[in-house]
Amino acid sequence: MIQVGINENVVLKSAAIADKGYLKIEVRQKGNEQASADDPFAMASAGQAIDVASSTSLTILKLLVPKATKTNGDARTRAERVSMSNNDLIETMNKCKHILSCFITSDDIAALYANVYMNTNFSMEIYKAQGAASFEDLLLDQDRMDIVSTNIFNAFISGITPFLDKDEHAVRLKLIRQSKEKHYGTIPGARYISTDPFMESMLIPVEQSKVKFSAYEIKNGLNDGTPTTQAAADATPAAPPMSTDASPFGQR
Amino acid sequence: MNKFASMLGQLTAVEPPVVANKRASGGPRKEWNPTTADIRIWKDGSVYPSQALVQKWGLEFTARAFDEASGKWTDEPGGLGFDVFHTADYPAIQGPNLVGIVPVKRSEGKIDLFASCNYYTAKDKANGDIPEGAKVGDPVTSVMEQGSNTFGKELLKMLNTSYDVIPNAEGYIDLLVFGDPIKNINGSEIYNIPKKLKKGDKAGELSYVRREKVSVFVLIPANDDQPTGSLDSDTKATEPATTANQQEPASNDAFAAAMGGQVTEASPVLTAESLS
Repeated sequence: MIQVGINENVVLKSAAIADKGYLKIEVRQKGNEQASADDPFAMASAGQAIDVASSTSLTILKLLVPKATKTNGDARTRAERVSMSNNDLIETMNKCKHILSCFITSDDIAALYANVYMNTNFSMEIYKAQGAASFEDLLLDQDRMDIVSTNIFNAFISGITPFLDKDEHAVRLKLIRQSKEKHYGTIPGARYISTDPFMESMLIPVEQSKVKFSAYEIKNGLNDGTPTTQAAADATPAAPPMSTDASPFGQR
Repeated sequence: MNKFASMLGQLTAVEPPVVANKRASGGPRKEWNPTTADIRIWKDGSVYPSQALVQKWGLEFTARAFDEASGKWTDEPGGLGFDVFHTADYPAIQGPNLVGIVPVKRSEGKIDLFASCNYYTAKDKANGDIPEGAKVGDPVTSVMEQGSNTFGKELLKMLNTSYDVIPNAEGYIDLLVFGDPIKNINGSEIYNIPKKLKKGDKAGELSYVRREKVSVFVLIPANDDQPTGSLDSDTKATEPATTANQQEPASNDAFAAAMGGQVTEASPVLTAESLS
């Protein structure tokens, strides 16, 4: 089971796109081939309660185009929505690429992600011909962003499949608390993944590890998985991250 | 079989090249570079490659492009250098604690041996300090003559830890880059090479650098009769060379000039624990 903290000896067991369009990565402990989300009781040792904050799967959400209005009713500008959507795209791509980087080389990752905009009526040629507006239109079109999500996740699945369910490819995984109110573990943001990785091979000795909680995460209690009340946890929506300039190519 | 090569155990079954146990001949100029081995490390930590090794791995420094308007280099340094590490710090390779060595493109940075050199700059040009036939961006020295000791003092300790060797009466240890490339135990093409942090409050602690699709070899003493013992007993071997100018003088002017400009970086303090 994985939870908030630095999880050692995590084996990626399977990866698939769920019905609702998100990427689901099932995991298990190295050496525990029977553990599965389908059999949670097999994972709990005798006399130990199953902790709802522990999990056997990781989730990377599909790309959601920001709504035109905020929850308080205020309108979002097009620029704000573009920026948020682009940031979401970057984060999602970075997370997938970062996980893959524990298993395959940079060249292989680049090849996998060469056709992220396939079947979206958007390409480098269109971008050059029509300018940034063509990309902004894509970022605000949920149907086309669904295709981008699928392309990103399929590329990930294609790259990760040879390494699934193999103890020799176990990883070290950092999960942070979802929010101050929600103690569930989640994959950290991937904006600064080169200096703040959340996953690395277990072949790297722990004393050399770069998977550590940042000063920001510690300061904000994101390294603490202590449960809060269910009501408090369910009451607070996660805030969407803000972003920077929109650019479809070379921003990673 | 070379007794040091036999430490490889099951890592490789390849016989080492036959090396004559012949000491370097004397003469008016020291034999800085080895001819029957790949690398010669002197007791002050200065390191010199053989011509054959330079050619095999493209170790020679190459000219760089310099934009005089901006005063900046416009390309990455060319050629290769070496990462060097203790295999005990690298669980992806299992076996005895040998010294691993990995040819790496200089453009990737954080390289241990033959990592960098000085280049002629626009300032040199303005001062008339560029010799005839050279131009801005040309390396000041050849890798054959540089003799940097930036990493060498650390390497002497690593060799002593792994093989118990110390410099011979002439003051050096000859080394071989040996064996077939060693693969990760999980077959990955990603090599996270152990590397000591050199700066900050964590200087001396181990971290790693990511290398992809590289070849990992071992660096072993070339001669079976290499003296063994405690490196500490050979005080000259552990004396810090505060500047490269304290090395024995070279006959080559370019070499001397390059060494004068070479920044020497203090090696992290090696603790008894890390030597064990």
